[in-house]
Amino acid sequence: MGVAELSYRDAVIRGIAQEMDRDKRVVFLGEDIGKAGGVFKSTVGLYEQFGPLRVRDTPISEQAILGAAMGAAMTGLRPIAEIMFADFLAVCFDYVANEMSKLHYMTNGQLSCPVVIRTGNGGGARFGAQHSQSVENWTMMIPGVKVVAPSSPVDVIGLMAAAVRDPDPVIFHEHKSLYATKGEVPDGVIVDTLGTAKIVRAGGDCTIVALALMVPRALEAAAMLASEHGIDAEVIDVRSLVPLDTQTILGSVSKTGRLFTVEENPRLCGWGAEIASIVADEIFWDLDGPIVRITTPHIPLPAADHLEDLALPSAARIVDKVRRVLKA
Amino acid sequence: MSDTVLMPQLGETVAEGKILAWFKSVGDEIKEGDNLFEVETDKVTIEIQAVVSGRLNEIRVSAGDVAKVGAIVAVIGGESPAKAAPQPEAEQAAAPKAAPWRNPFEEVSTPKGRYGPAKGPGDIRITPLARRLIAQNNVDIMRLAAEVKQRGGSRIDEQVVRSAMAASPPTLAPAPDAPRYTAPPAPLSGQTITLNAVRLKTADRLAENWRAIPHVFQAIEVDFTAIDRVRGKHKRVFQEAHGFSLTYLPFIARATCLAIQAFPQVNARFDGKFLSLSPTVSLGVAVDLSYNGLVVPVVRNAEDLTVAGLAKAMRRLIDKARSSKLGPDDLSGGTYSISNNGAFGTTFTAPIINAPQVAILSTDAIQLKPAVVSTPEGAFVAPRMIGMVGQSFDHRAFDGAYSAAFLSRLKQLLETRNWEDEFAGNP
Repeated sequence: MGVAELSYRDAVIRGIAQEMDRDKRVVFLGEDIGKAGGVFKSTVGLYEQFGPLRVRDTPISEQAILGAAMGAAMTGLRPIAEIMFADFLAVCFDYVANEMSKLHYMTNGQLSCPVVIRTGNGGGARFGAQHSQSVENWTMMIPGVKVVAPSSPVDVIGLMAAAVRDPDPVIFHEHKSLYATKGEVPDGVIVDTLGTAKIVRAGGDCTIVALALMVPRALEAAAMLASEHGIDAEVIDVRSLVPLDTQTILGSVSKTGRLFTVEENPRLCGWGAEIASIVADEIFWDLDGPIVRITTPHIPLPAADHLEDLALPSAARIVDKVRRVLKA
Repeated sequence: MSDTVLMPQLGETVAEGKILAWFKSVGDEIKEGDNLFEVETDKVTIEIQAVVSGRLNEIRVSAGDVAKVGAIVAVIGGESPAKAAPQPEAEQAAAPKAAPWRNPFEEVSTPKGRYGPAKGPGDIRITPLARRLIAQNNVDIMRLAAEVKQRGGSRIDEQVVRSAMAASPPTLAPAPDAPRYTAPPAPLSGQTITLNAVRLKTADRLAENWRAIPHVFQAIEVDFTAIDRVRGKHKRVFQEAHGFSLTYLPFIARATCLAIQAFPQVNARFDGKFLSLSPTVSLGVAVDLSYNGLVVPVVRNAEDLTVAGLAKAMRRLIDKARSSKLGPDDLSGGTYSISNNGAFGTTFTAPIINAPQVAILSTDAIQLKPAVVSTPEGAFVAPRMIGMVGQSFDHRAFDGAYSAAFLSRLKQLLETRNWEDEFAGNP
């Protein structure tokens, strides 16, 4: 059983191919995903491998993409739909928030909606305020959808498989600034489980929970905290916002007594607020200090390089905040 | 692809369950909906059904063992473990551990208890964890505060408490909530009975309620002759229509709901500072499990039900209780309870209140007794159906006069209400 280094981008291709190969009902549609191979080159080769019937380019209409995907799902297919930039979920939010997410409930279980909405989320690529937002919290608040945001190539493949095989709509946030990053991926079919977090670094002094691009930054920060400040941080990759693996998070914070969230979404109603609330409630008597959230401020994201870098949580900012809070 | 069977969440505060029996063996073909295993929690015993079909390939928690909620107890489908090919590492690393099911209104469970104030001596701040450790280990907070002040600090945190504990082990007896191991006592003689989880939980609750609540017991003698007449008239038709007999209990339950309208404070929750009156009556009915514990399933919106409706609702719950089919929703949220001991011929019973409820009604045997009946022609001694109806109440919630007035109203309803109206149109 071999292990190969694979980029996050190629992991997306492999994850989709694995599922299309397994199940003829899996189809893939979106803007420029066919011959062009995707604007982020994360769908290269799928059109050639599976043909124009199963890999379809669509007009530039997010409503059309999700409407077609929902109809296909209702009639027995298992579509993967791409919304190129996660910001554009706002264009087709009715399908996400009112239609797909409520179908199973409103038909009393007669119909279900096994759609995976893949979308390029997050900043760091100088795309400006309308193409860089981290909108995982928009999707987290909708009853009836599941939400994942993998941070590594192996998780991309495993969670893609889990999302495609799930009977409910799943929003699959890929991070635009992670496409080029690489990680080790074993050969063979990879299937993961929705609703599970991963402890990516064990530690005893504090718990840092992070998602997507913030995971490598939290790990970088944890390494600096350990070597330069003698602080041994545990880092958790949340991976799945809905369902949320509260057991892993609560278990870790029970052990360390301190919680930091590192969120790319703007502070107001970011996903970390929900986790902070659950932790403060369920394990109040295990907390040894305030819960601290490290987030992008509540601002439209700037396009200028140094301003965007300033806005998103960086490893240096995480180190500084954790160190100061634990020292206080 | 295999599916794992998890220990289900069987109540708001249930953390683990004991598997009493497996109905299927490894190798059996399971159909969705088949009874898989029976589990006992501190609240309820319940049969768990399979939610998928496939071959039962593995049982990880055997009968008699306890598993945490959410733990994998069995694996259905996929290849059997003996011949399964080694999985790629990535798949193994991500072993399924889906979050356990939780009641949507109780997705977050707030811990019980408090461990002292946030501010200590000299306004020093104490973190929640430090407060818990101090209380659980009887650490001298004055000394901790003095130490921290001396160092110029302003807060007692985990580290401060732990180093103090390491320096001097506690000399006082451990706090009551600190876990203590007690060896089982050697049996005096004869048989030792191992108590099951329902029995132990019942014991804990009763002891705590008896300790915390100042109980007062009052009883009133009631003439059930009028009810007996109506009951006699409808008994046969009722039995034929519903398959079980019409007892006095639904009449008493109905009268209780009506009396509560005039005395809402008996149908309430007491939390130390407030008495919260309940707008509806969720009537708990104490059910004995063949001397193996006691459960109190709840009839919701009991005030909307007729005698026949109450009879049917109570019968359904009693049947469920006796066949261990009660779900957590059947047991929660009671606002008033009735304990009925009439079957054994007792004269009166003083039951223990089921906190946070503030009162519980007891009924005993109803039998023919000589009673004095006043008529315009004078007083006579006559055989009448007589029984005692009593109430234990929490004296913190209200006083004896209120309880007595409630019982008096209940007596009046039982003796003089036109019970025939209850059966108008329906058997």
